[in-house]
Amino acid sequence: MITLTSSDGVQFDVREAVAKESQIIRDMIQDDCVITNIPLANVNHKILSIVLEYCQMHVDKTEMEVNASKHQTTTGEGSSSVPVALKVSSNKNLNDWDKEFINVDLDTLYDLILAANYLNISGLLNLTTQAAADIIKGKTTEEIRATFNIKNDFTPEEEAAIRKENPWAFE
Amino acid sequence: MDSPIYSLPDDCLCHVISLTSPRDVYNFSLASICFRSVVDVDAIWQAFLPSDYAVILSRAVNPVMFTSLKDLFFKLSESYVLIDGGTTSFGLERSSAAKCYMISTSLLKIDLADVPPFCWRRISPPDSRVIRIVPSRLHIVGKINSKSLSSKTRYGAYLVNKLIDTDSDIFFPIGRIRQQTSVTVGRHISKNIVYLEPFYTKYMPAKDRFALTSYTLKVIDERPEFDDNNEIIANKRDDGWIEVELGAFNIDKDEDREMEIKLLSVEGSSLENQIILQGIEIRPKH
Repeated sequence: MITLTSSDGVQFDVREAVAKESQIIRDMIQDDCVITNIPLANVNHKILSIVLEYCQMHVDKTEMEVNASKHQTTTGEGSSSVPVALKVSSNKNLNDWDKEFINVDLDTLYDLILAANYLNISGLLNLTTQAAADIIKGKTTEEIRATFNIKNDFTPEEEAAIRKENPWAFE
Repeated sequence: MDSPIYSLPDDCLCHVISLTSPRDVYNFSLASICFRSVVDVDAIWQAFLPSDYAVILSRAVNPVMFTSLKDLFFKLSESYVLIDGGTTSFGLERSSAAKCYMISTSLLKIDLADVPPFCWRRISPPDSRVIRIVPSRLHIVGKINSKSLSSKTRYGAYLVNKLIDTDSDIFFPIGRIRQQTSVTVGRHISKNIVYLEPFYTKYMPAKDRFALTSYTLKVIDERPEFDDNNEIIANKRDDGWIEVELGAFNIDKDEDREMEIKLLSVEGSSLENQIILQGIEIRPKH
């Protein structure tokens, strides 16, 4: 077990495999194999618990698949199509789970992007940045400002000039 | 209070933006002065260029010069680049960054079995890619591999042509002949009935309104035979050519499938018209 301490001092005891979903923690463990307590200065307990929920789920799913395929190999039952089918359905479940998981408010989404970036969890970083991109897609500038609470600091003349430069983007 | 979006490090923000589209980048960059510079980040434009853009550029007839990936993106979206010995042109749709192609007539199979040799010729300069024919019936087949298109995109195939009247008549009978078209990708077939002339809106002087009405009625009368098909009339393009949609299809993921695009006259014409073919354009359909 590894103890991860959030920036606000809350400790989380997790299995090594779960903690190792983070590249930065994986490197730390590799460099110092007796390390048991890792302080994470940039992630508070609220976000860390969400991040660990993601890591836990992804580790569990991977292990389930490995076990299932091992079971198939040792018992010698069935054709090779069985584990493939199992894998496809479990990937589908995991995608559904990811979709549900990432259905969070914008502030949490920013914090998750920052945490995934800091901890270097590539799956979570891809999931969160894609979710943010999906929010931006297809929106007009005004809608983007309203959604992200961005203040328009262009003068009307500046804005009109930029729109005129690339009319195709603002049609 | 400032929006927390300002707290995202530049590389995270650029990563997010690179997952959108060129159109989205410009709309986002206009939200605030702070984001104005994202339109100049080369990493974002690299994400919009097709992953095999270097390979495609190596097939260009004339070398494509560019100063940045953004510059390259805009060059490819402003005009098509001739590739593969001039048989195909390649470009990108600006708003979505999807790949587009123009398959020239040299790659199209044009069946001229019932056209006397003196009735068609390849136009030499200024543009050897186009051919001029005086057909009584048209039979055109084009092919493209779905792998060379962008995934997760709905595409349309368009025949690009011009109709030229050989006498003083302003009508183009060939343009009003029903053409049956199809686009086949694997088991999916998209079929249309098309007219090559945008005749409902143009070429129709006021005194001929009665003729239009009777023609419209005729078209409606003849429809039942092709009940399941869409009926499509050609459009005038900004570049002076006429285009008509031959069919639409979705590219879901990277698939290695040969697509066949066909146009076949349903009925013949005894009237003299010339058709100048530029080719079949494959581009996103919105």
